[in-house]
Amino acid sequence: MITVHLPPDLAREFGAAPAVTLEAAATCTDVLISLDRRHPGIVSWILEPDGRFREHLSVFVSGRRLAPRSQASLALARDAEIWILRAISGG
Amino acid sequence: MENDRASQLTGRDLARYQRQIVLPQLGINGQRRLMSSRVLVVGAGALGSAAAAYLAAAGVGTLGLVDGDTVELSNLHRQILHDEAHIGWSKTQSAAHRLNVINSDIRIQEHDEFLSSANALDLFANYDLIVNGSDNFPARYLVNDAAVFLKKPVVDAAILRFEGQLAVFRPGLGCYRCLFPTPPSPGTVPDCAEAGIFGAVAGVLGSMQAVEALKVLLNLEESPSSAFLIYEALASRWHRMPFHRDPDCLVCGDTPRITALIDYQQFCGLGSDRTQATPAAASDAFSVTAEEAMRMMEDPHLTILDIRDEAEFLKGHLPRARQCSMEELDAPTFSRDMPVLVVCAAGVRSAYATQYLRSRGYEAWSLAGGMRTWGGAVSAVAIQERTRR
Repeated sequence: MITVHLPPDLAREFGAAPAVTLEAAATCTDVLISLDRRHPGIVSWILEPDGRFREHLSVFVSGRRLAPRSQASLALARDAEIWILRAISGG
Repeated sequence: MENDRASQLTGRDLARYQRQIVLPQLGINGQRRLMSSRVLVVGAGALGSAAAAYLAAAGVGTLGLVDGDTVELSNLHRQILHDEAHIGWSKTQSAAHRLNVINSDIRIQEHDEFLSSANALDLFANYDLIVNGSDNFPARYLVNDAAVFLKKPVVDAAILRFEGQLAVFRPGLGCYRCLFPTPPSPGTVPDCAEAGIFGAVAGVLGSMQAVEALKVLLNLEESPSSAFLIYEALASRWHRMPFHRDPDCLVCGDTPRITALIDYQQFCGLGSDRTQATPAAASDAFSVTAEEAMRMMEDPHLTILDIRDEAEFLKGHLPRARQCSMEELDAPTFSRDMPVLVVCAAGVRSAYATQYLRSRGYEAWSLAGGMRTWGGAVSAVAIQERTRR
């Protein structure tokens, strides 16, 4: 199984849990497609139309930080954990 | 670092700091080091209160506070340096007053002004380390860039609702822009005024900032690699995410393209007003209240786009609104000459869509808070329309 940790505001907007567990898949794109099936429209807030992660997001896959605007098509381990983070500004 | 009275600890110093001097990692030399250190706390708010209190108590020799705001009653549930007697005082004055009560042996420098591109470099130059407790994105990018240019370490934190984020940015080991190259679109991430903040979360993160700042000053870090820490108060969990300097970073990368301070309001999509952003200004960019939306709707040429899915739309929508998917915004069929009001459930999706439409030349506005703020009015419209079908 693969766990996707979502920004709390985005999760709330789509009625998703902050951490969504999904069936293992070959690539990050496949996992996000599954996520979008469960919460229609959510992935348009995570990916650009060309399949890259949106630039204001910081994405970690299995503890490794992806370069900004990485393609989501990278291969995943079966138990991968994906963290999709956005900055907050409260102080 | 300065080296004046810290060269010789007094008996009073030994008595005051005995419980930390006894730590082998600190000792007399570590205490001297703290007493000769200069730390600037940006923002005397919730994070700044907790961080500054511990830094003062630990004996950091010079503690600077920069903030142009005044104390309000709504600050007091989380900004623990301020109290009811100080409502209306400048935050730096109120904080300095309390810090002097905690430790009168240190020097407190009040900078009663908002941090800006005009004063940041001069201010930062006088300090060894920056603790960032600012409350808006323009200030966060400004703090980062100024610190990178001057090679100053930054202990950064941010809070919202039950969530906290913390990172230590050391020169050459990555910066805020390596993690977040661009800010979120205005209005897409709420601030504490809009979304709320569990006051004690600020205490946790501000105290962590003090711990990390003291570790940097004392060279106590076990491995000075960069990590982004996330605190989830409801789950009682911390997560640690290691990261590295991004060689393509615009500020600290191999070939930086930003080499001087810029207009951070404009960079964050908030216009070119050079005054300090307030939380309200950040969240209100291109958004309208329900009352303002009602006035806009008097214009028969207004296009109203509801970007929720069909099922959500059918549960209730604004009169004259048409359901429109995000994909449709790539090939719009509505006029660019008329204003557009964009609506969703809570104002997050519509803020993204508004930003996107504006980038394509539309005069677009987002309904702040979305349909949840529309409440009874829209329910009545929905019922009327269902009755007509």
